[in-house]
Amino acid sequence: MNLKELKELIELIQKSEIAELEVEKSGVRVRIKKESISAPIATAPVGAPPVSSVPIAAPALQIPPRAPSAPTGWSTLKSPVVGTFYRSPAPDADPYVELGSVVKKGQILCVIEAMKLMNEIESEWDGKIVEILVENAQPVEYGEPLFRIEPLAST
Amino acid sequence: MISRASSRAARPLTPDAIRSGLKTERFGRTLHLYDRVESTNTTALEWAEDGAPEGTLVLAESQTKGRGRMGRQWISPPKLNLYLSIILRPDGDPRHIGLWSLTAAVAVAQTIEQATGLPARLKWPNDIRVHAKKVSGLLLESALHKDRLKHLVLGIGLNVNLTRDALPDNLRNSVTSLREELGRELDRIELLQRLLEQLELQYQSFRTKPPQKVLETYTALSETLGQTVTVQAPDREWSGKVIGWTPEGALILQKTDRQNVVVRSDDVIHVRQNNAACD
Repeated sequence: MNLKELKELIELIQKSEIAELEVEKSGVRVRIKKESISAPIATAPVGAPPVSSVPIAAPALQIPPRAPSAPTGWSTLKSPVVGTFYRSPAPDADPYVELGSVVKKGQILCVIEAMKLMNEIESEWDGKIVEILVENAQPVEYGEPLFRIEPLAST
Repeated sequence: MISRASSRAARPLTPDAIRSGLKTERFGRTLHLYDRVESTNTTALEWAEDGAPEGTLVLAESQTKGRGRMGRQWISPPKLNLYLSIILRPDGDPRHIGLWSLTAAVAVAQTIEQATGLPARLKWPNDIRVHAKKVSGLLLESALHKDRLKHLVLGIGLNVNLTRDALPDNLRNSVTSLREELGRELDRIELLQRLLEQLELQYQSFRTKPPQKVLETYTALSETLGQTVTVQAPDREWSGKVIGWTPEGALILQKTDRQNVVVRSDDVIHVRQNNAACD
């Protein structure tokens, strides 16, 4: 990705209602986040880290929905193992969770497969899925963020 | 070698018969035997959630939804084969648990060789094959919470007395049973007992020995190492030669462009000299 493309992306999200944009291309991942969508300001409050060098087989484009609240309170569920990320138990089955799903602590969110061992990954919190950070059937590394969850006060 | 008396070969699975002469400490000591379940893995995962001890065996005479990787079907007709799942609770770092998937396949292959004399070989990661046809398959499922492995279920389907005519046409060239390869029936209970003993032994090795040692035994039985293969993933395909394993048991493929890639979960298809796929 070159500087020109990066500038275009920044302009794109400034003009739009998109709060955060993550793009992967040719092994480079860029995330651009607007500080606030309710009060846009003239000087671009954007940052372009992190840029990673993880080789990605297929470029993926993710456009998360508008952030429902300040992301600072969100929790990030990271991969405890290395393997392939699956959102459903079988190719023709429904995903375990969708964006906006309300989940319980201990609920299965995804499967990560390595060597025909299917690891069911449980939620660490009661909360709402606000971001799904990996595309189905893509490789994930140890510690790679998988989901962002907006914790809900337990009743 | 396992006895060939035909009356023994046909006897049904019962808890008493399974426990009688079983030389394990924990594997199979707690036993849940069913006439029919959807899948022994599914039932075992429920028992594991309920706190069943390590080594608990879930066994069924038939499965209505026997399954393999990606929800694929495992043919499970009644009273002919072995369909079992074992609950395990290994402590330590879940990052290295993938190696157990390979080690368990070693135990199945060694049991077959010792019980029948048939040459059982391993297709990565854990298919057990005799004369290049699949005779047994493994599916492992675990539950992870934070960095902790709550439990792990090892599911094994082993075609013992299945006959060729019970298989769908499209599987007859790639799937077999011990009976088809041997030309006689086998007693499933004796085979199960030896399998549980071998699995317990290999489980100890896996937990105490360095990965290199564990992988040496696996490599000796592998028919994938050195092979020209095609690797199929949902959105990509690679061809090349298998040059080894990572310490976790992932396959290292040298692609035709000489670049190496690590394969952890995709379908590996052996390619014959004449380039015809053989499975």
